Amino acid sequence: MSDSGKLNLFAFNGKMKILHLSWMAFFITFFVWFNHAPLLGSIANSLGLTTAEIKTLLILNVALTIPARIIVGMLTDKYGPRITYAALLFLASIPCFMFALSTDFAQAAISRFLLGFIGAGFVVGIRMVSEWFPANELGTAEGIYGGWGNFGSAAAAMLLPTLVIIFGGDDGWRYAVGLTGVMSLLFSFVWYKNVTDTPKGSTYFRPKKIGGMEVTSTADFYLLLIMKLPMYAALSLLTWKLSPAGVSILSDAAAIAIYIILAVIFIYDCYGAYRVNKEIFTTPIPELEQYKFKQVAVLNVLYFATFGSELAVVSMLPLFFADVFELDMVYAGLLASAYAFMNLMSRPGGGWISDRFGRKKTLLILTAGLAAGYAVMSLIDNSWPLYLAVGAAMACSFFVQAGEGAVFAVVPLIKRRLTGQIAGMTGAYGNVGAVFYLTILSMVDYSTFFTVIAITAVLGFVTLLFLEEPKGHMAEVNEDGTVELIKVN
Amino acid sequence: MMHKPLALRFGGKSSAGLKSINQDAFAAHLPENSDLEFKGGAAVIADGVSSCAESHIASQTSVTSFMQDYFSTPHSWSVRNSVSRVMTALNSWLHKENAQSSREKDSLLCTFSALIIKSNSVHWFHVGDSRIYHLQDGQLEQLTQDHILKSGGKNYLARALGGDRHLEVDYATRSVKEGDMLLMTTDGVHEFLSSRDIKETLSNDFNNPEKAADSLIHKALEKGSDDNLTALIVCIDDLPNETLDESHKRLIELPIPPVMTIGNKIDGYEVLDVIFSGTRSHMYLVKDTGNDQQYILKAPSTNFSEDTLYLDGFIREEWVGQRIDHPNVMKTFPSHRDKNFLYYLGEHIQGMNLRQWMNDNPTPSLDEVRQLTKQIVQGLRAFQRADMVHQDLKPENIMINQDGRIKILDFGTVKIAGIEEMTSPLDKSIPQGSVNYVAPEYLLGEPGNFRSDLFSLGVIVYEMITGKLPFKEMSTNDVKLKSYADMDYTPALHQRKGLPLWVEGCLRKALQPNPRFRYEALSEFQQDLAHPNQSLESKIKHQPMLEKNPMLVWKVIAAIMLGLNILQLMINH
Repeated sequence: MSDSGKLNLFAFNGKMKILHLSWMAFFITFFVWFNHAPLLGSIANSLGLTTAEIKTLLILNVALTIPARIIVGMLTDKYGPRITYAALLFLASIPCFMFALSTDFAQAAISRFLLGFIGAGFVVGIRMVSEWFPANELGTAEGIYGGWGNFGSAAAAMLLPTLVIIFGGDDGWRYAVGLTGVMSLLFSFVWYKNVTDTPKGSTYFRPKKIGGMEVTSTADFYLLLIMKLPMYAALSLLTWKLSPAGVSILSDAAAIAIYIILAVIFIYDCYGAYRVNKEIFTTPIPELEQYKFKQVAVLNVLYFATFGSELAVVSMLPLFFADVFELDMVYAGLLASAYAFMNLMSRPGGGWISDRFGRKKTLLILTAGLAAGYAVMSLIDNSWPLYLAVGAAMACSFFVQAGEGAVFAVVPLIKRRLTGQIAGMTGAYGNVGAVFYLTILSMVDYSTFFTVIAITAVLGFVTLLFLEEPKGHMAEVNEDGTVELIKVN
Repeated sequence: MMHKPLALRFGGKSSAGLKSINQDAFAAHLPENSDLEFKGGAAVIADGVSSCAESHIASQTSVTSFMQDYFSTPHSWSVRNSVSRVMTALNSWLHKENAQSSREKDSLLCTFSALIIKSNSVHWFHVGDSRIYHLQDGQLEQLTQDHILKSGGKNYLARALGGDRHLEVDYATRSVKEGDMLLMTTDGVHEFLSSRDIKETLSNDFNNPEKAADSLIHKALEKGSDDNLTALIVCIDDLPNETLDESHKRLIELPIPPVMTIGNKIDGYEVLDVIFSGTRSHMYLVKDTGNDQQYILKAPSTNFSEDTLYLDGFIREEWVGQRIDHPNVMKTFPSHRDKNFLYYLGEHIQGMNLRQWMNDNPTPSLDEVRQLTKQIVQGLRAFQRADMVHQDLKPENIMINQDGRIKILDFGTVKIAGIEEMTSPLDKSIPQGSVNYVAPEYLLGEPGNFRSDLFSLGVIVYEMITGKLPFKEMSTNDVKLKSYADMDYTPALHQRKGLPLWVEGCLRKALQPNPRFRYEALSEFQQDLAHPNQSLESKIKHQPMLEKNPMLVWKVIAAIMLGLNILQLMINH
């Protein structure tokens, strides 16, 4: 009974200890997940990779994350965040070492594909933080968790190239990547030793309905099925990319087998959704339980454009700077880290702005900024002064990450009971976006790549018009401190 | 109240018939406001035993005092508990009168049949040869059995109210529907009418039970009834069926207040301090600006704004706190003003909770533990008297105030017998307990009783003494139990050396995974914790090997069998 609220960032006990350890765990997952991006130059040299193969590696890195987010989400529900995060950090160190030791493209590709799993760490911490923070502090706490953790990719971009130089030699990148694996392995134990799933004494349990996403009308059910398609489409796209039609890692037969498996899983997934929701076809859902699935769909699309583009851009930006401005990789990596560096402020900032100025208005402005930002980036060429290019990247990243924060500020307001599932689906869309954008990147030049992102941002803006402003608080505190009821409608 | 209330109509007639004096009596009552919801409607009929001169006194007194007493029982009591206590009191009074008075022996005797319609069920209680019939969808069914002994061609009453110090009452319950009729008769009526007669008469007059009762009596008289005649009819017009939408609306009628800080005012209460801010609720110290009285104000967390089960529990908390008046149980207070938000006011307890106490006192003396346990038991007995089970007892829910007095809090999951028997669209099948403290029967899907609270108390006492938990800690996420045998107990002796054997025996009995083997009463546990119980002590001393180390026993048995097999082989060769 000693917990009287107040977020004190410098405290390291109780819920703040959990928050700090959570963002550190998330930080390390991102650090490992993007440990290749700033080192692509030396990796390519050492393994003798072509540009097409490098771009394939980038896509593979985010591919498995799509199903992994869903699987890890379910594991978190079943076993709790403590064990799940520890296991994820522990197991992810294995493909990380594999990647560090790989000697050809195939080995690198397989380990990179497996490393996609670590990108699913996000959902575990979201759950952990929500078990510890009261509703009124949750937005800020999740913002700190998400933003500071995401910073891991920036840290990788800043630190790893320097490490490579310190280790030196052709194998420098191997030591650097291996070191991230060691970090992940060690932190797995630190995490397991230091956290508990729920605050002591408030260990309540109630079996949760596990399974597909719940919807509350038949029209929404079909919308849900439609919204599932892009996830499978992204994986199919990836398979196509790896088939003889693309870079030829998979044989035709293997590719067809994967298509069939994806189709079977899709059918099973739809059946699962039907099983969870079959009641809506016979009995009407109580008024209080109803919500509109289109709200979820809009947020999914927006996260596709924001987080999806961030993942894609973070992976390619070091290479982009190195290529366009003919810089060495250390310097390029450092410059590129400016993009992810913004996470520290912009993501929590987006949530904060959204709290202040209204959900929909904030999202509209940020999405418009995002479209403009990427349009500007598509214009960058070597005639630009370097500082201007970096400035453009940072400005653009502000809109991207603030947009992510603003999306997740709306997520809990749609249907409180389903927040976990809505967050999971939205997060998965971020990865679908990344696969989509990176596949585009593998086919076109940098300028077109940025233009495509800008166009999807405009599409996001249009779908945003369909979002209904989530209903706000029913009660408010007046200037004189009196709590009063605000009549809605 | 949002949903329609219970609506019944009664119609009754009683006649002396050919006799000079009417020894029958009947009464029916449908109360108003909250009594209607918690106690339902009641109808009773009694027939004074004809061989007794003053039996009309017995029947009349029974009927009138039953009505008065039943509706005075606490709202938290179940129908069964309420009626059995009232009938026990009635019976002892009659029996005592009979034993003491100068009247002829056994003069105050009567049959007694009562029915209570509460929520969607009828509960009936029955002694003697009066009858209760149930007419549903044109089918007439006799609910009661006549308690009659046949001897020498004559019928004798086998059981009656006032006949014996110990009374056996038939009790049963079933669900009813709107449009059902219930009929209560004395033998002067049903002895002379066929069930077809009864069915026809009732079916014709659903709208006029008075008339139906009247015509039953006339028909019985025509058929030659020579006894007193009474018929009482209950017609069920409306049953209180709350739909899910209605109960949702009722629960979210008041909005959850926003999170407040010091100085905020809500409905005339000023926040002086934030005591606790968590994922489930927020607790403040407030001052009533009207009279400077200080309270605790507890409000639910918006995390649960759509969780009807949680909100239902929250509202129940206030209800329970106002009904249990005991120094070891936290009180809640009704608000003097209309509430605009969902919260409740509770007694301000200054002190620490038992968890903090355990942290401060890692190795308390047994006497300290006993003092605290005694108070917790007293609090729990107050729950037991109110026909309630706490269901979520744990160190965090037990406060010790500055005078060292124990206060039990958190009534969000209290099981109230009187509310349990009302139908509710909310799914309450899964109790929410706290892992490590919840009694194992809940994990097996069985309902709990005070023994479940005893188990939780056992865990707490064990933890106070040893600082450890008696069973392997369970994970919060996947709490399942296949059978009681899965609970692996670590003797307290292993955790605290030098603990007297009898204390170990006492804890072990309170912590039996199967509730059947636990203490029969809270007081027995308290007694055994204070005074050595030889039999429990010797049980531990002379525990059979099979219980102490079953694995070893089976291994040895297997080894002996193997040896015998080999021996057999050798002999055969």
